[in-house]
Amino acid sequence: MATILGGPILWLSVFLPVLAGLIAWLAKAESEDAARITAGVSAILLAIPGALVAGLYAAGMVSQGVLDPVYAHFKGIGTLALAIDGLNAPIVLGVSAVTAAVAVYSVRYMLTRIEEMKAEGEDTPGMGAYFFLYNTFAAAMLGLAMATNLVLFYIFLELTLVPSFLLIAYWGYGDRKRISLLYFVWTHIGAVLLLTGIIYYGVKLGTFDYLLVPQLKPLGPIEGALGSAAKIVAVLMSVGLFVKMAVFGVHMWLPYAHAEAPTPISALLSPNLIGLAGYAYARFVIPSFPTILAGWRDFLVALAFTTIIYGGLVALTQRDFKKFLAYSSVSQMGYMLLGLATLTSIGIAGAMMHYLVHAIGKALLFMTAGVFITDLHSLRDIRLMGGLARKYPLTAALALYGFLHLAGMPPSPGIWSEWMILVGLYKVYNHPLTTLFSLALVTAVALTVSAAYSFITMRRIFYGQPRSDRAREARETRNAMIASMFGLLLVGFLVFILATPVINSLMSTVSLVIAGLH
Amino acid sequence: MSLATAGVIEGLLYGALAAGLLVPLTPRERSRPALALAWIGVLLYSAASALTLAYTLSHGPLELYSRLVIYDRFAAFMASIAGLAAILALLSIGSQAAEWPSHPAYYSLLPIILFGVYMITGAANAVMVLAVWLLVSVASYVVIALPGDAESRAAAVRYILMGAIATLFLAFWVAVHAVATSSVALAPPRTDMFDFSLYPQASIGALAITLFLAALGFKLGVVPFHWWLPNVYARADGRAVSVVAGVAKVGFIAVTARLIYYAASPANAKALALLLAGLAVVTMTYGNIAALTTRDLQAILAYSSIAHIGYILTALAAVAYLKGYAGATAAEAALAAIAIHTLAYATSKSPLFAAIGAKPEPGFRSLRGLLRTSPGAALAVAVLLLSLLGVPPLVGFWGKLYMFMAAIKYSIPLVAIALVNSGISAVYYVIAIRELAAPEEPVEAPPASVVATLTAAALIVLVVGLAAPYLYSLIIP
Repeated sequence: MATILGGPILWLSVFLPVLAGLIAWLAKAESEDAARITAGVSAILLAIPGALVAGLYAAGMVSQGVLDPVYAHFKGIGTLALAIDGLNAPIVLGVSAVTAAVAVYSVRYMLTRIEEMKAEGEDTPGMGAYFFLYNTFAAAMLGLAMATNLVLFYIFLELTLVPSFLLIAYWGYGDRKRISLLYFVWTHIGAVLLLTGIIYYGVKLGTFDYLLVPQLKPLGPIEGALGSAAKIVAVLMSVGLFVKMAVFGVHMWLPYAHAEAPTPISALLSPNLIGLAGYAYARFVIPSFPTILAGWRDFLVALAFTTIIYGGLVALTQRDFKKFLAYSSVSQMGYMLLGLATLTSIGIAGAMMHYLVHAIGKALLFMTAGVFITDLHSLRDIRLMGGLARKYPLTAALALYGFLHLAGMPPSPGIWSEWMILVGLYKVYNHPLTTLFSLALVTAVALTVSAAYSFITMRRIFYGQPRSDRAREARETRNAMIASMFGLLLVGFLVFILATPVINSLMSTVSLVIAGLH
Repeated sequence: MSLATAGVIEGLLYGALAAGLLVPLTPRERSRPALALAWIGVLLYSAASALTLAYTLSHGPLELYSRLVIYDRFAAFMASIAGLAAILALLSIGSQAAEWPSHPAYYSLLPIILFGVYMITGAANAVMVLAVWLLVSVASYVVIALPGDAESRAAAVRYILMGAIATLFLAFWVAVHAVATSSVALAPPRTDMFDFSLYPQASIGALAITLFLAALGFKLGVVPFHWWLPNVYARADGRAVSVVAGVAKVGFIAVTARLIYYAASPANAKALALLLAGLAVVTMTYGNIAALTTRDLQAILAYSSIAHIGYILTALAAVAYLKGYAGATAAEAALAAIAIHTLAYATSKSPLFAAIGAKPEPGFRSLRGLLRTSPGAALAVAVLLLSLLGVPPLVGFWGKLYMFMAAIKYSIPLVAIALVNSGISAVYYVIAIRELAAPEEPVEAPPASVVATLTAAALIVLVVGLAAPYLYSLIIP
């Protein structure tokens, strides 16, 4: 039985950041000081759900879940509620930590970006509008993670889309008009495919709930209730979520959107938003269609490996730092999908853990890219970098910690998530011996590619001789950008050393998710 | 009780009609009295429709004029939507129409059209439909021609031509219906349109429905009867289109939905649903693809009107199918979904057309850079366009959700096609929204009345969107 919270903390944690952003926008908070205040308030508000999750972990209350006391039931729709349980606690923590840190980080970056655009003769909306869109985007992701009902889920999904589209369209780089449209249309098509499946689900079951309120138990398998249409619904939901997640084959939109978005937004889009589709897969697709998914297991594992290796190899060939990071996101989503595809509790728990790992690691790296863009006149080309570790010792350390997340090495929690995903994989594919060996080979290739692109890029950027004047004349300054990155590093390190409650509560909740398989 | 309510409603409607008819008596050189009369007419109508809605919600169906007009919840809700759209149109256009050469006609015709919309929404009799159809149609032709410029007049001629053909179909329907359903040769023909048990043969019933659908297909812009619509909606003055597309159309949607609801039976449900689903697919696909090919805001709104009729046809196919196979309750839920969607359609289209008409500019110019010159108006336009696209939590999302929830009980592929269409439509809506922030020379701020109307409509779309599940549960029995 879930604990019902004493007040509507979860709804408020979604609503208040939007309100703060709206006030900043309406009050025309454009000056540097005003932007700092807005960023501080936003960061505190966005950090609340993360702090709540940390407290719940400490109190050992995550496994059975907590429910917001405000919820409403509608005939034919189900119950619209927000809740945190073992499965989404790491997701909420990841979204909360990254959005709070990036809110602080945004100020200097966006002021520079707006000035730069003005110098080019472009008129852009100011910081107030930025924080309104930023906070709405962040809050919608929090809502997405905490929703218990498919209609609510879809509402938050579209609510992430509109502000992120506008953020790219206003402050993005390159051909931002075309790219923002590409982003909107692609992910909207993913969303409507998902919606088709959602509608059928809701109509057949008479409710759109995927978590029963107030018990917070999954609805369980619905293949029987959907009959012959179950497979179609499973395909629609899977393809819809895979587009959002940018799995190999439907990933084309991602490198453009994530590379050309303003960097703070890349840091939200890349790890947070796309990973939420993987979370959704564990939240309602796997528990609903266990038998169908068991039939797809081999295909999904192959798709996951393809995504990992393809994304990694393409990332290696990139010259643009941000595009490199975007392709590495495709690759990392492959790990998440791999964990999900095993359909084992440890594999799925590993995938959720990997969400948190990737959120921290990739955000750190995008923030690194943003530091260079701000300080070094939009330097993004890796070929023009080199030797930056001497000029930027702190940034280099932070970036290295980010790369360790991608490569799955301690002292980053990446070691836990990748280990869990691989244990899940070998729990399923342990005989005959030929399967085991060939999978071991593929795994070795995948892990090598990930390690290779991480450390080769680290070397190209930070070591060797500087390859341009911009890199030669660089000098690190201590500012809020670096401070916010240290905040994220701290979260990552804490998760690394205090992983036990996260993993334990994940494992106990995931056993409900895959209950239908046995 | 019913008699007293009926008396009050009829009185309000006559008041509205009288206000419209009194306008020509006001002095030509001053537009104030005419505008005031138009407001009186629109508000009296709104009161009548709101009262009808309140009555049907609490007491069940309301019969007026010895069963020539029968109001159920769906019809009452639709009539109220027309009232809301008319208020928005008049608020936006206000005294602007005074610039037109024969401006009193506009103020006079708006209440008269509303009177007709009320009658056609609740119509239960074929002759009644024909009579009010003529009233609304002729008034609409005049409204389109009113601005007096060459484009408007050309559009009006096309509109009249289409209207004449559509009226022929409708008259033919009334004739077939009246002759086929008369049991005794010498008895006066029976014309109550919802009693399909009167048809001696199913094939004649099918002929009647086909004729009716052809006539209404013209009015609504269903492919292949749509050819006139882009010309009229895209070329005529937006302020005139606002009334035709946002107000009068609601009545035509309502009568179509009601006839299909009553016509569907286990015997014909499959064929009828298939016909409607086919029309839905071609209509929405045509509308969306055509909208993608144009870079003109008013043309996009015109084509998206066709696409929206396609979505509504999807739900109508469900109405037919569910009435035949799942019973009246399921079909009524689909009707309620159409009502929600029509609300979304009318509250967005009416103010948007009116806003464009207030300052006609080619292409996207009437939106360009609006965010800087009038942020409130820009935000409101964005909300209205997103509602048309179906982005939650705006009311357009709920309309589509409930319609497709009903339609999926009939056919998954149909809903998949509809949703893919809805996804494609993102392109042109988003292009339009992006223009709001375009850096190039911005458009001047629109008149205050237009800004106020857009803001009001956006608030309605948002607030109703947040309360849509409640609203929906009110309409379904």
